[in-house]
Amino acid sequence: MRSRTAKRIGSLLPAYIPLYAWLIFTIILFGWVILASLSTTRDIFTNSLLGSGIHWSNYSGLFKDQGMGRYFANSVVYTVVSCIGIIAVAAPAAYILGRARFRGRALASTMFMSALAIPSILITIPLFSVFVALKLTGSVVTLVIVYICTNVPFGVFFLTGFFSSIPKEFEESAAMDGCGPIRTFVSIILPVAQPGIVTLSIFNFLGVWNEYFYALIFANDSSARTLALSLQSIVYGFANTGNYGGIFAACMVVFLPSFAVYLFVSKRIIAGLTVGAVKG
Amino acid sequence: MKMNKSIIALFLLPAVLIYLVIFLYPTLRTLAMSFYDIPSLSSQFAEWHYVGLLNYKDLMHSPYFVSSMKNVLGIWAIGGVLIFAFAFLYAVILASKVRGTHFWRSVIFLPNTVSAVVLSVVWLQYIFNSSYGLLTTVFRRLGLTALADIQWTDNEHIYFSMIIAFSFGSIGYFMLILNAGINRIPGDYYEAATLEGASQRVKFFAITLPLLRDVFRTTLVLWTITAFNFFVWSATFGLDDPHTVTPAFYMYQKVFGRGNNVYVEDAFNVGSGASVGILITLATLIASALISRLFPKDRLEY
Repeated sequence: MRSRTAKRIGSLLPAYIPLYAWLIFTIILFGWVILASLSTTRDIFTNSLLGSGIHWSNYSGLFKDQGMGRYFANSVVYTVVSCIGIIAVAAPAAYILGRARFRGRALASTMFMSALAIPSILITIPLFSVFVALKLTGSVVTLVIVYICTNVPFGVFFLTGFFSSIPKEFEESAAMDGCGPIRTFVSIILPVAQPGIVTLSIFNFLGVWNEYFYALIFANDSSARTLALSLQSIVYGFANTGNYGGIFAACMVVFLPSFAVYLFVSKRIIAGLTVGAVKG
Repeated sequence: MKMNKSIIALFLLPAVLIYLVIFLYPTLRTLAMSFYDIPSLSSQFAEWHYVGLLNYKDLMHSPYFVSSMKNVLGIWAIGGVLIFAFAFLYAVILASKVRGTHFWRSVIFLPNTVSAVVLSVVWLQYIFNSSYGLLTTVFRRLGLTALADIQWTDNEHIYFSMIIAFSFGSIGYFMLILNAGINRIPGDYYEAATLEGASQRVKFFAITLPLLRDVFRTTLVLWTITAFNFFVWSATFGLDDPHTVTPAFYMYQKVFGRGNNVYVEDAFNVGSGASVGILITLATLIASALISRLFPKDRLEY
């Protein structure tokens, strides 16, 4: 028995090599950046990270001189408002598509599916013209609208399955208690579908926090800029002035919030991602 | 279930309106714009000038656009091979009997959750840096001076450096899909094969690979859509280097580049940008149809 276990571990050994290679590379990558974000430029260039002690000033400088606090706040607003807005629009629609029988249901489902296949590059030019006409370019509202609207089709697609799997006894007993359809939806159905809504919101959080293309086009204005976009201009400036510690500190400011979320919910993200994709 | 018509309308209407205003209308308008010469983004329809297929013809004769198409095909091919090789390797490993599959999946998927701007900066300013970078440090330690002296971000190398850096951030997603596909294959098949005396190799080639055909098709279509719309890394990694320009980035430069781009000799024309969008979409549709042809839907049900 013992020799068999030993043999199994022996035959699996080659399988662990690529895994540990990836792990070590990841640790070096993020570990080095964390240490570099607390070092001076001289320490970085002489390969002696933290050689002159820990420099938190790399971080405080970002918020004091580069206005990163404002961009951080912008990104928080974009992410939070978009996540709520997407659910507010997509959940009722998905509920209807998942449960109600009516003429035009197939058409509506196909519609949202087809929207998933439309590349963002195809819709940006007319959208930009519309926002120019409405004098809304460069404002925070514009990007929030864009984020909510462009994520609704996936939200509908993702949530429809969750709603259709809820037993219809929930609505029946609610109706017997004299509960109207809107109240039934808000106070009975939504709580039951909570796992799906939370998973979708995690996707949306990461998606909006890291989004680049729409931000570049609709919010490339110092007052509306997102954190990721500001990182690019800060890095560009710091590379010219030679503040390399600041460059890596700025990376950490963008990276840490999404990493914190990922640490807590990676299981959920991975399970949610593979549900729809394998069905093909 | 029967529901009141007004409730159906109330719940469905916002999402349908968004579809019509944000997806359907802009798509049709972009299609129309691609046949016109349009002087600016805020032009009224009266200022549009019908030119037929001229925008498309001009693109085919623009050396910038032609090289951007070559770039994107290279990204599709090279990046595709890189991503699929690693994603499949890790998917197979994690479907075997290794311990801690959840942990390993999370670690391999981690780069996918990091902002492309952060990943670009880390690769450009750390891994590929020529004085204190990871690659040059490691190669110098190993005494491989020729490799240590490579300037990863100069004109000659930046295209391949970008593909490597981008692929690192994309492997995890494709690994998850392939891994879920392998795990879905019923264990009975392998047990029956073991009873018949099949080796690991035979089981892999006779069971795993054929039953993954549907998953391969899905992932290949997903990758093709991602690759053909390749934009973010051209903007964050390649910056303005013509070696890394893709059609999507070319369109951005032309229409939204605000005058500080490398294509100033081309006259500003929004319609031309629209036709780039149409071409990318057409290419995606055709490629997806071809892939579905090459991997017909498996009639095997399990």
